[in-house]
Amino acid sequence: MATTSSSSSVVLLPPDAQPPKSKSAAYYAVHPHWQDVIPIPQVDQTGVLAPIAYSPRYSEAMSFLRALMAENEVSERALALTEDLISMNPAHYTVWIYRMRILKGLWQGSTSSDNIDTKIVEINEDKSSQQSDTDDNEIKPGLWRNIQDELKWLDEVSFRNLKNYQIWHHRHALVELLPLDPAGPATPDSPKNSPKNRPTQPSSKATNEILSSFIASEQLFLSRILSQDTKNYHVWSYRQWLCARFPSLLLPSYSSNASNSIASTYRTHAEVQAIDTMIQDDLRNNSAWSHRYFILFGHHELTYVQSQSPPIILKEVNEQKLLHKAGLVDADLVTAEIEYTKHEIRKAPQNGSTWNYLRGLLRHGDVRITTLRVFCEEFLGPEGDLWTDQWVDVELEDPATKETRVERQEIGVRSSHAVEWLSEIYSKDETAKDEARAKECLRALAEKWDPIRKGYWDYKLSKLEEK
Amino acid sequence: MTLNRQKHVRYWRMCANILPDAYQSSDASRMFLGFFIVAALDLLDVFDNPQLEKPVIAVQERKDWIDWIYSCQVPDGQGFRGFTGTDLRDRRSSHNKQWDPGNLPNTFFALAALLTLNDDLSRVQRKELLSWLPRLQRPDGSFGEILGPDDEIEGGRDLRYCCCAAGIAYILQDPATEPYQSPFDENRLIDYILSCQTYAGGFAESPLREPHSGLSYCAIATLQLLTRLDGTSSRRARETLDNQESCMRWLLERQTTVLYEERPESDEADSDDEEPANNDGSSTVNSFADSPMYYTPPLLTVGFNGRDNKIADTCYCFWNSGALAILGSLHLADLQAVRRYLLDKVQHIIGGFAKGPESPPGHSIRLSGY
Repeated sequence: MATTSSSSSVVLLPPDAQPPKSKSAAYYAVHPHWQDVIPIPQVDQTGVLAPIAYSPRYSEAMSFLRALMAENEVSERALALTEDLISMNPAHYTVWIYRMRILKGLWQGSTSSDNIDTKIVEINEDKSSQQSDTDDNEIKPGLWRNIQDELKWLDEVSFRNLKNYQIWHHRHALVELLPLDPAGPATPDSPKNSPKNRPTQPSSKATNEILSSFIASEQLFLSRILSQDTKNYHVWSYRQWLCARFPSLLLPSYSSNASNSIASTYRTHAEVQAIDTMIQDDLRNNSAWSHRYFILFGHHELTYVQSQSPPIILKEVNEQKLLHKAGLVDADLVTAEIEYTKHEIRKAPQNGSTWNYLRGLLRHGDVRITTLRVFCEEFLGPEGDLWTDQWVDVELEDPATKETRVERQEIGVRSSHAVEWLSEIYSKDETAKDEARAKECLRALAEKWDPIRKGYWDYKLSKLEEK
Repeated sequence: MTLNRQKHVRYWRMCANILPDAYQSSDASRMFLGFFIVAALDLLDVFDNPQLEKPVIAVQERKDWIDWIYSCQVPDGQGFRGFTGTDLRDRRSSHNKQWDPGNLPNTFFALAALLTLNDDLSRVQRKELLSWLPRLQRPDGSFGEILGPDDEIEGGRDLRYCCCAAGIAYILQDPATEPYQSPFDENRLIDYILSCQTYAGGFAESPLREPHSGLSYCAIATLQLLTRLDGTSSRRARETLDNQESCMRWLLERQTTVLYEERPESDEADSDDEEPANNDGSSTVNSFADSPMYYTPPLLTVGFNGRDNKIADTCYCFWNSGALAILGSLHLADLQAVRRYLLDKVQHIIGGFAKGPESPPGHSIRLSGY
């Protein structure tokens, strides 16, 4: 039932009124719970740059948001306002941070922003500011329930706004409130997760159960959201971060000790299987291949970088073959993955993602490209022919009926990537160098197999001819 | 087909008048949108052009735009807002200014827009801005977007912010001041950029992520800006740029004839034909299955994609070409084919450029027309 405010003749909405769907209806200005707030209007003088035709609902919500921010208000109504605003503009770059502030305040039972001690909630802060009533690396069930509720809301918002970055940052900030993975190395995005902060005691059974349950629901959420947009960059970034944040729960362990190689078992690991499935669904999903590299090899490189003192950078690891020098490469795993990748290449020889992944393997494992000569030559024409057209009509005779039929068969060059690799291999192979053939590969690419990149192939050819 | 200059001018003039409410969710990047409007008009030679019968943008309007940009400079001079939406006006104080911060990328776009409008930057609070910039740099060398509560660096750590930071330093450097003093740690920034380079050659958003054209452009452009800053790292930046064979290869790999999304009726198993779907050599995603590799007709239409196995998108013509140009390798790309893509496939009937051949022109306000 609408009421009338005593100090004016404005007709107010009922107290339980929710934000309307209409883009033009007034809401906060006529809601009884908001009468004490003086909104701050946005004033753009005439002749502004990039003016937008805001809906009245958006303008109003923004005016009230500014008013609450000005007071640093922490309250349920403030939380509701951030939710409303987010539904209209999820890319607003301070509203999510404000929301997080409000949540932390509410979760501590505080309604004054001045009293919020964010460190009480952020239990993974540096130990020098450890709170006495918070155990090492534990999480209170109440906080966990709160996080779960917020994640559930966030899941739905994420599905509605697949291209938005702030949503993933908010998720990241929520997950940061969870206990550390005892095995977790540092990642750039989780400075709290650094070795010096690693808990000295194992976590309680309750905490471990919470983390397992969290990971299980995250895996489900990630597979649902990726099914909507299999290459969403933000989602894959988050997934990679999550793996690095909880490596003992999400990553196969990497061992450089040959007797501990995971080469025979890693394919059954949950995260590897999830990537296998995505690759089988779409061989050309470059994001899936990129994540595969991270979970099997990249994470190990990053861990190594962070363990070094004085500090080194990632690029040095591969350029200077530091993992090799330290005896820290799982050669059997590299070999297993090379075989896996060859198998996938054979299914779709023109797929750039697999060939690039193979590059990554060779680099990590310090495997010479020349070892792939025979494999690459599988994709040429008969007797290593570099020019034959892809399809040939072959006349086949049925031995029983003597009837002939024509069948199209693939007998020529089936991969421009193979030809590119061979141009490099033929010029580098110490035992069977063939500069002339290396050049012929480049000519074949320029004239026939990949003329779009003729400029590049001609350039490579000129470099070979300089020698 | 040629560039329909008049239609484009009309399109951008329309955008400058008002953007429809669909842009509400881009409200926070009005400065970014504003820069592209101004830059597009500038490229179309609309400012100070004596050959125009009547001015497209009035002198007063240009002054108003400059004033609006300056109205986004936050009171303590620590950067520019992305939009007037965070302005707390007379209620702004030291207790709440965290909700109305300077925004790094939008600060860069503000300065770039001012320059394009021929402003002399005299109202920029240079000293304050340059002291704010290093506070956004993290120990690993990357930059964030804003300073939030407790002066925590907020925002991702992706290369776009790094590029904007370098751009700001470049614009605000004062050649009269000797010696040049970098406002931030350039060496660490280069470390971070290098850590974002992948085994495929392209650069990713952050270490070990998937390589992406937009981010590769940011990496290359940042290095280029550092060579021009004459700081302690300009030589290292130069050497790094001179050693980008693998990045160049990756960028050139982004040229693609796949311009269309998969059509639901096509069936991979039946797709026995090696003919491209269209007679200009363009094809659909589905044709990856047996992507034609024989000699293609001379009138090829080629776009650029942003990542391996994705379809062409107009904006990537800019990111990829721009990066290649900086590396001095643009001549290795098939530019005629790209021109055909831009003018025949994505130039929109009402002006502006679309994201793909069957989309409306909205995407052009981002980059494409530029």
